[in-house]
Amino acid sequence: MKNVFLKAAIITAAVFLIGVYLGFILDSMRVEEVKESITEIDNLWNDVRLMQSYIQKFSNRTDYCGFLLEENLRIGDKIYEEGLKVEEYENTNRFASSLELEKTRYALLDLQFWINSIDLKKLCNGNYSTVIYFYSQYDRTPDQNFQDRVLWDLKQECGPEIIYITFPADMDISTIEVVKNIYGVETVPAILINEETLLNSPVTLREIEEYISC
Amino acid sequence: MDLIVDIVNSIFIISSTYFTVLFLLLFFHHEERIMSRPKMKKFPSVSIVIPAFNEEKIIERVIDNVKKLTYPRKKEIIVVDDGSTDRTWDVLKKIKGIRTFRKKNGGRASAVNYGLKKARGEIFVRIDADSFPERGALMKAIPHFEDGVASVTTTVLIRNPKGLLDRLQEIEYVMIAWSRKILEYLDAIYVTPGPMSFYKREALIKVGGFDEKNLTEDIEIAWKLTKNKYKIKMALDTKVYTKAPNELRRWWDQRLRWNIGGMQTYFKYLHLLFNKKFKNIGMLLLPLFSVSYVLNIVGIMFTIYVLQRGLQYLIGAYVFGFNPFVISFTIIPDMFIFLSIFSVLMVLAFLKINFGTMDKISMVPKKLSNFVIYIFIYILVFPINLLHSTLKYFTRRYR
Repeated sequence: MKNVFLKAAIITAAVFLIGVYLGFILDSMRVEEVKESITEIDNLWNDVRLMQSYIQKFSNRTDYCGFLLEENLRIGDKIYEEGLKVEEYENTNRFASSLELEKTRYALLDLQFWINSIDLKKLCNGNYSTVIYFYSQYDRTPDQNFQDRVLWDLKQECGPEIIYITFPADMDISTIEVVKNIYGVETVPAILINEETLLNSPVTLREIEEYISC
Repeated sequence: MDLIVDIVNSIFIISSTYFTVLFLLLFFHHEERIMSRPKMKKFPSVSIVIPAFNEEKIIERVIDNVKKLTYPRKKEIIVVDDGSTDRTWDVLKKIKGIRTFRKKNGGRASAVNYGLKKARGEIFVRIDADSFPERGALMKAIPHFEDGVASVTTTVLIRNPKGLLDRLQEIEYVMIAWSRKILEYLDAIYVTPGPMSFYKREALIKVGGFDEKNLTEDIEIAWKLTKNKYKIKMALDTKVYTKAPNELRRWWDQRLRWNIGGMQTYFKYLHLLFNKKFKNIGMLLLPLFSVSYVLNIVGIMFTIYVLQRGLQYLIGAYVFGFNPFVISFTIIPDMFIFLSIFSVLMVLAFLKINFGTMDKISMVPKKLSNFVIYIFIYILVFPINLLHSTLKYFTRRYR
């Protein structure tokens, strides 16, 4: 009879280990996917940035403004889509810590993109709004969950008319720290609109729409 | 918080998987013999005791049915009227061929104990006054009384099931019977159900009869017999049909009584936990009950947590106007989803085997919707009832 207890324990352990192993494989697959995707965006981003520098140096800037703005928004949407994927994978991943490295890479890319969007807006009189969302990477409060959803809805509603960028405020990235200091972000979640208005969450869709039009 | 949920979820899944695997292994190991019974070597004398309280409408039919039970020797039928306030006693007086006694109301256990004092048969059969054993019940169950066996339990089924609640209980009763047979292989049968159970009269007397203070004397007696090194067997093919509560309120109260009685018994014997001298109780029944209790409570807490998370999204949707169904919210990480799938598959295997085997005797109608309701709603209500019972037990709000 003792055998049955032992056999049951072995089978249970096997089932558990298979589950964990499958979970681990899935985790790794996702990290690879994110890595590939971020590298792809990185290349695309470098290409656009070089093109922008080239145009600024050797050509008549304003002739290319339409094109540059369009490219910038295209990359913005791509980065946003990728961000959603990273977010989704973050919720499910448990083992692969390298996802956090990818997350840092993603945040840095986001920062560069934001700075570029500010420059381009000035250069070409862009009429898009920028919405910067500061959130906590490690402490997901109900307020933050609510704010996530509201901003997701906003992006769905406005599409390319807004540039929506998310910054993990507590992820130990020096540039983000500097940005937080400049704009006085002390608590999260917080929303910065058009580099002017700081909203301390939670705020509804309607409240955000008072500051941006789309 | 996520880490706590992960840990609790892992323990929950591992424990439930372990017990499912254990039951399946035991089943496969004994599959061919699950319905078999030893050959009847002799026909011991039999006393059938029916405790009755306010059963004027049904008692005559119950006795008539008991009289018809096949057995080559004369059966002693004893009916104990436990101080009925209706016409039960008048009805009993008119019935011939039975021994009747009337006593002051003291509860079912006291009536059975009264019957035990009056009984003369070697085998003592206790049948509830709303239960109808099948014709061959004695011939099927009594052969199980081999050396050391003090009690034989039977398969309890619902009599004339009508309505959804009856159908759900029908599935439940079949599952209980099957799992009791599996528990027999571990010497861990924890109840000798009231509708019909067989005992060696001598053993019952030795252990002092039924506990009259316990709400479920049929659970307590099983533990008492086990403590005294007696064995309990399950005659899976022996059927008794009983009336189940067909109103939610009565059903809820019945489960409260079962749970509270179970707790009374658990705490009565808790001092034997991990006591190797009484290993069937100390190393099996008590740990099994403890784990089962914790699994139930953890299960309901986890369900509440998941529902609360879902509710949070829905409230957000209706109050603040975002669409909750667009973003999928992940609460359980993938590795646990895998484990959950394994567990669900095992539960399905469990059900399939259960009904594959039990079909031979129960003929429970297979209506898929009933199974779905049973698995996804009915079972989920148990832990809530258990919580309610716990509250009642510790605040002593029960009679």
